[in-house]
Amino acid sequence: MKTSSDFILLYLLLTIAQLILCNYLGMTTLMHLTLLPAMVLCIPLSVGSIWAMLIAFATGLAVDLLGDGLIGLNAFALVPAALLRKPLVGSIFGRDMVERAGKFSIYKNGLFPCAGATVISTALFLALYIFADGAGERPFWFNLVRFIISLPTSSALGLIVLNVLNPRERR
Amino acid sequence: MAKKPDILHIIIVAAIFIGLEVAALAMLRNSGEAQNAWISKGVNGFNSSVWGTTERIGSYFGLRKQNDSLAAENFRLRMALEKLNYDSKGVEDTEIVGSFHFTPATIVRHSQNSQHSYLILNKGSIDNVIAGSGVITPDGVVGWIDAVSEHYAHVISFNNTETVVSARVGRDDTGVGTLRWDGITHTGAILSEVPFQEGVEPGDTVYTSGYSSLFPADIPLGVTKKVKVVNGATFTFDVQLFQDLRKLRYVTITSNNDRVEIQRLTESASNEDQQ
Repeated sequence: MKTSSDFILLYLLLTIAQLILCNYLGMTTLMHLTLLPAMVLCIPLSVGSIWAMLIAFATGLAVDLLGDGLIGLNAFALVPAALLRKPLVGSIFGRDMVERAGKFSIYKNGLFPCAGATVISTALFLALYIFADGAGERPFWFNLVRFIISLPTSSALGLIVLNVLNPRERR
Repeated sequence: MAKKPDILHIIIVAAIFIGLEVAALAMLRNSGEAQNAWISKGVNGFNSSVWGTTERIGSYFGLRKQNDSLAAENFRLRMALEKLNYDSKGVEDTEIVGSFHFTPATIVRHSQNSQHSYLILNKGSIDNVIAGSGVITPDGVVGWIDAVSEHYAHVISFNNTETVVSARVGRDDTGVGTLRWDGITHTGAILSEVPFQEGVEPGDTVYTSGYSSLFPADIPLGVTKKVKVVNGATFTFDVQLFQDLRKLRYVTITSNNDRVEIQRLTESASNEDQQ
């Protein structure tokens, strides 16, 4: 139970951190920093896909409403990341992990599988986010450059998020 | 042991996913001009494609009715065209042009799995169809009626080794021969016993000669391909037919009103010869 309340508290704090990133650390339009896909990836596997999608939608919407972005944009991009969370974890860490509703961490499963999962989840989020944010108005090269710049930075932040939300179990 | 995927659960997950995405897009649409235009464009595109597909499916299932109506209209137009050349008198469902009367019919069965193909038409004795009538389309000869019931007619197809049609080729009426199915392909035929003459070449059109009491003259049947000279006296042509009988649905029955009179005349002439 303690673990669960710790997770909720950390999740809320990270949502606030995302708001700060959105509102105060927008360095350039070519870079979008996001913690959200990694946060959704770390939702315990005992939580089903339906609840994960609802949590992702609520998180995205909260960031949209409280941040200075377009309302619905983060929610739109984050729900697919929640939908694909279990298949992604299953394909990288094994079906066993999903069936046992286990917890993955950098210490337990290694840096590369965790980085892989974070990068894929972040890439999916960013692709949808940048695509919808551009709304057909921005040229393809701009969206591509934005994606290429945003993916490694956001993935690096995502690994930190993963380490914060799933820190305990060691190899 | 891995759990079996629950279809109902998958459907619920998919429905909730779609619902949340639609809700997000609806909010996004109201929060920016560009997003509004972009989403509207996407929604319109989706609607158009759904309506287009629905329309196409509806049209597909309405094709039979449309075909029937077009075939009837086609028949009326062809008869009107024929009437420009012949004095004629209209009768309800049939049309009389010259010595022939024409009855539109639909193929209800088509046996095409042997050397003795036949068809069943939806017109019978109640429609004044008689055995010994021809069956044609604007693109050629389909066959001849060998038996008639009250509502149906049995047709010996042209794709049948028993069927022979009098046909002509060339600019004048001298190149008359007999056309029969080649027995190999559905659009292949052989025109034989054409008297040797100048100016007949591969690519010439073959028409009905009008010398039989079954078919009117000048119905285009096909084009000549290879030509052979037989015994230095006659031509034999390979003919590519215009009409592929496998794809037929609508045909026209041709009955020669003077057929009985011609038969009697022929019989009396042969009797006189014998005496």
